[in-house]
Amino acid sequence: MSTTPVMQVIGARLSLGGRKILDGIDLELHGGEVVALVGPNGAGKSTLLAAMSGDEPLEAGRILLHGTGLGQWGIGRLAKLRAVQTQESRVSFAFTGEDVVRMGRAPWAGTPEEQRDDTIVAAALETSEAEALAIRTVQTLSGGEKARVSFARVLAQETALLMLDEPTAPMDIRHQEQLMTTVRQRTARGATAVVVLHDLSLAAAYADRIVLLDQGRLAAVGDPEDVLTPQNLQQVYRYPVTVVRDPGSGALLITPLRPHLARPRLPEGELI
Amino acid sequence: MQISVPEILASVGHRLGLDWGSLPAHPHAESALWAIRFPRVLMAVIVGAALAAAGVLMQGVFGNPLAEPSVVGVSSGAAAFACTSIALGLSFLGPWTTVVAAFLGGLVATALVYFTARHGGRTEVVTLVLTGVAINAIAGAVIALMTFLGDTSAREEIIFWQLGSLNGTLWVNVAVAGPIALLGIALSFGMTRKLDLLSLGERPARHLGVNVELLRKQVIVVVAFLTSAAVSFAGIIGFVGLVIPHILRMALGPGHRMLLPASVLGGALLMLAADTTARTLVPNADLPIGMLTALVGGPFFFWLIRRTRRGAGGWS
Repeated sequence: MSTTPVMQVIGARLSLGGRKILDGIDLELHGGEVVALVGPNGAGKSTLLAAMSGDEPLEAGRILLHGTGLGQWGIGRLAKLRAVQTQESRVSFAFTGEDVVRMGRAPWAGTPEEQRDDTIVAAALETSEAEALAIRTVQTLSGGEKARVSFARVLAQETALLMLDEPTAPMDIRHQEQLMTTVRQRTARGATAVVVLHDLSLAAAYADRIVLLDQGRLAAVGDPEDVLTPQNLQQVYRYPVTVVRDPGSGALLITPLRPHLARPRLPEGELI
Repeated sequence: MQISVPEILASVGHRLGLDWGSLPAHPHAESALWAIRFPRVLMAVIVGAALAAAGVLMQGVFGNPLAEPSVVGVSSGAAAFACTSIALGLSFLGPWTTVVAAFLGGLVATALVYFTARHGGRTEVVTLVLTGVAINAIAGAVIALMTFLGDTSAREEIIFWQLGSLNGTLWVNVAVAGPIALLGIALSFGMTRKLDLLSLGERPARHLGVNVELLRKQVIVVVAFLTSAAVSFAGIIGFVGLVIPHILRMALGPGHRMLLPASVLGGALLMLAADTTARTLVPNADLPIGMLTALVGGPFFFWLIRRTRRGAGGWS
């Protein structure tokens, strides 16, 4: 790709509490792609996302957004360029779902964009099927419902870069698929998305590129077929997995080995 | 002394150059009204509005309904510094000396509470309340020491202070506390939207364009401002900043753009009512207003602790 990458991570290093969390990460995000960050617990996925969103300062290396250092953008301008969904979606006071989604419009206050607030908030609620949650107090919602409200807030922010940290973790299948479909719709229109995922089949189905992290380093980066191989995954997760193609769709299905499900040996001579 | 409402209106009208109604009949009514009652009423409005606004700001920045100037020790921090200035007879800034001392005390206490109780972007409620206990203890000791060191008149002033009272409010006090409270309230109006966003947590607020570090410094300074305006002349009047925002949040929802102006009004009204009660409940006795608010606010605080503990999020 010849155009300037949306984001460039160059030699990112970061330690927390004396432990190396990111150990020399180089990564580029391009316009129109969905990049999934995968890897075992403690691999540095969330920290990398936090660094890319400007929350965690690096010890070494640089992160450029549209060719300019993250720190140079200023908090207000960053809010118009990238939206972040964190893992936690606690709200301190009894704000309703709609209040929270409307907060996503805050960066656009005082600009002409502000006039579209109502339309955008309503559309975001609809997209994440959160209309029924709009009048409910967020504190009383379940984990998955909170995550849907958070995702609607991120959508309402209308930025060209989406950074989502395990957005689907608390969600049911329907909403997982809808969320990832929405993300792809946004990227089809030119946005860029970087998503931390634990569900490898979900990542394989929706991501253009997979970034496999292991102990703060890039274990593999590339197309899902190339990265999500049994060898790579077994090495990184320290657990045997099988990768098969769904006979219908051809999608990659990644399942851990489950010895207790080993097919019972059939008595000799018996027909199935 | 009884002065009827028409007489009061006539007296105010008279001062404004309007000649309607009959002036108060009692020979001392006019001077009692203007030298004693009116400054006291205005001070009640100032103190109530300032404390309620400080409560809204603190609860917003801590993300917790239990944060309040008197509970977490900001009021007593301000009081300790102010007492010190009284006992040591400091007067380097004229009538502003006490209020400046109170401001510095409030600033130190707020900053101390904030940086102790906030950890990793979250308020640890137990630490918040314990820090309040520690600051209240230290401030109490300083006030006791100053009571011990001060001469008789300073001692009397300090004791009256600890109880909290609007008795004896002078116009000069109103002239000092009024502008400080007004400035503090005006500054807090600029923070309402950011405080809404802060309820999502520090990281999400930053993602939405809030300079969280700057906001917390601003809140600390403005809370110290508001508390010093309230504490300098009226003493420690507790729980106004706890009760008023809480009740209004239940009625109006948590959005700060409505909550702040409503709390300013509500605080002023509550204080006026409390002061009228303090003045008239027992004939010929002026009850300390701080005692009254604590009598009502203390049990409310208990209820709130139980409720917060049971409610979403609990103590974490």
